Amino acid sequence: MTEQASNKDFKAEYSRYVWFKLLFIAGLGVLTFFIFWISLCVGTRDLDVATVFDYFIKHLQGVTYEPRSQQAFDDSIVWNYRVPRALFGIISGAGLAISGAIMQSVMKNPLADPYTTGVSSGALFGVAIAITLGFSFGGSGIAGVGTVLNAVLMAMVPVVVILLFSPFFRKSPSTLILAGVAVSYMFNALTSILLVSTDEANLDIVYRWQVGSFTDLSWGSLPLMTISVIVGIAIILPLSNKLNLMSLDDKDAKSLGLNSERLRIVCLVILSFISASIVSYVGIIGFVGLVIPHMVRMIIGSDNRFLIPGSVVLGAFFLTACDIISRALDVQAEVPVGVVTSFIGAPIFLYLIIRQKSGVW
Amino acid sequence: MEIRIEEMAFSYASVPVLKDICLDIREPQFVSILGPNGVGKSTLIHCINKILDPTAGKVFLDGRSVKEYSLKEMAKEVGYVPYSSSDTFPLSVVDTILLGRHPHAGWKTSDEDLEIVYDTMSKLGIEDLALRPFNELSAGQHQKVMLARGLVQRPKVLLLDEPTSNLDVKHQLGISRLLKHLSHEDGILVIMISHDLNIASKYSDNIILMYEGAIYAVGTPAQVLTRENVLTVYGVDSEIIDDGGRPHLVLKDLESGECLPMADSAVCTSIL
Repeated sequence: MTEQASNKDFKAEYSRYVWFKLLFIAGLGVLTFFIFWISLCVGTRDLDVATVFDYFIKHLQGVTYEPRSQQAFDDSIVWNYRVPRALFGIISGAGLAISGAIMQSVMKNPLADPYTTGVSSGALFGVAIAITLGFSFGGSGIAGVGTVLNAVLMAMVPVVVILLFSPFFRKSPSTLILAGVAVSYMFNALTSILLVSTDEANLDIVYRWQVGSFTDLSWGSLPLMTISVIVGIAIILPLSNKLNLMSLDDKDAKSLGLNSERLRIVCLVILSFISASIVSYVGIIGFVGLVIPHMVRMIIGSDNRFLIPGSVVLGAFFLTACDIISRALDVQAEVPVGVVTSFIGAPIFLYLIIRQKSGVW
Repeated sequence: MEIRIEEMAFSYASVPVLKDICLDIREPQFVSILGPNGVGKSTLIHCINKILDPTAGKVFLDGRSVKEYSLKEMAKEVGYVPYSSSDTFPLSVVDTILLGRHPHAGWKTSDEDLEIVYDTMSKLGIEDLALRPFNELSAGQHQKVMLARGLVQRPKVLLLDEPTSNLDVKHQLGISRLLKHLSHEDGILVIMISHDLNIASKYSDNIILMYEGAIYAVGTPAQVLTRENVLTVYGVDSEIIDDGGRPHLVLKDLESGECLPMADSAVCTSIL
């Protein structure tokens, strides 16, 4: 039967189509793996990949070196500075990109991400409270749970604003972003008030938070952020086919058995946890969440079942690469990584605004 | 599958849209809902599949109140084909249609899902569009894809909001015949909102004519589409011709000088 033959053709074609997407994601995964090693080589102390790899493996095997020897020094550079920093790039990149992808799908808005909607500014204000006033919910200390909780709580404020006013944001994608800008201004003003009255040391810390920087990160800062990013990804991935339905009108989604409003709340709460925990450690790194999902869409389309994992790996790769660039530009001064992402991301954002009318990819 | 609506009313905030709707549809058949713009046709079908909650009265599917259905159960029983669909983040045609399998499927797309999608696409003659992005299609193709999405839900009731509005005459007839076929051969209760009186008359088993938020007349096309009814409901005079036992309406021009608000007087005169 020709009917059956063409049915088979169709299935084969569709599975090729799916395989291409999976291959793309896997390829990005491999690239991310490689860039991790490259990232370990960049810095004031010049080490090549083989040496770095050697130190890495030996450290895992528990090899110790004579104190104050060159080897012990190099081992410490690799293991205590560069490895956590590279992991930070990978995990926060993945987290920022998935936050953007979720935000865009949930709000049906190609311009949305935690940065453009004010979620990051809210989180930063929470961090500023913890640093300057020393006031935090829960424990204390800059890298502690309390700071993260502060950030999460303040990140929830824009989320609540978005949820309350979401009917108004449907009219045009820019309305949501303008509201986000307004909320950001508000939080930036509040943060500034705190900064005016604080001492120089705190000022320096908060300043670095504002531009987003990977300096002074150590192993101790990793677990909390890693947990929230991984848990977030683990919750969102199984929901990704439902996110496809969310790109329809709410009433169409309802007719297909999905309560969009409930899922939107769940997703936004998860997203504010992810982005607030990232902001708590590295500050505001702009445009990763906005640009990465669009890059993925350009290549493998908007199907969230592939877009979400694709954004995770590309985000990890992209931010690690930006960190390498920031260190390579000037090894001594270290241009903050947020500056690099903004330089790359802002023009793309502008391009998106301009071509927005003709649909997205 | 039968639908029973008892004294249902619906209002948005304080604006009443529907009032005193009583309706009883028993067998699988092809029903058209007609009526002027803003009369509440869409609201009526939204109240049937739980998109909206009626403010008063009750709706039953197979004797069970729709309030007792979960959204997912409802989506397995009642398919819905909207008037238009957003394409902010367009999927391919296959993936768009696969969304209709959501109430039945899990995370992974099964072979069965793909077979159902393929069958439906070939039934509608759109299998060659399979991997094209939804936003690159013509308006008519859009409508067929959305119809396909409703059909792969494998519903017992299919609700459609103006499914033929963007199609050329040939495809209007084709889709209408398909809908009739679905109701007669596959036993689906098809309820369609339409603005084309003659298409509705030609293919429907029964017609629901709405006027001022209520049901004005129900019955076969010959019973409902009379000159008086059309004059009252639409304010348009017509001549009814018999077309193989079904009424065919020849609409008469509005009274001279009575232009619709959209056309300004300059346009009315300059066409001479």
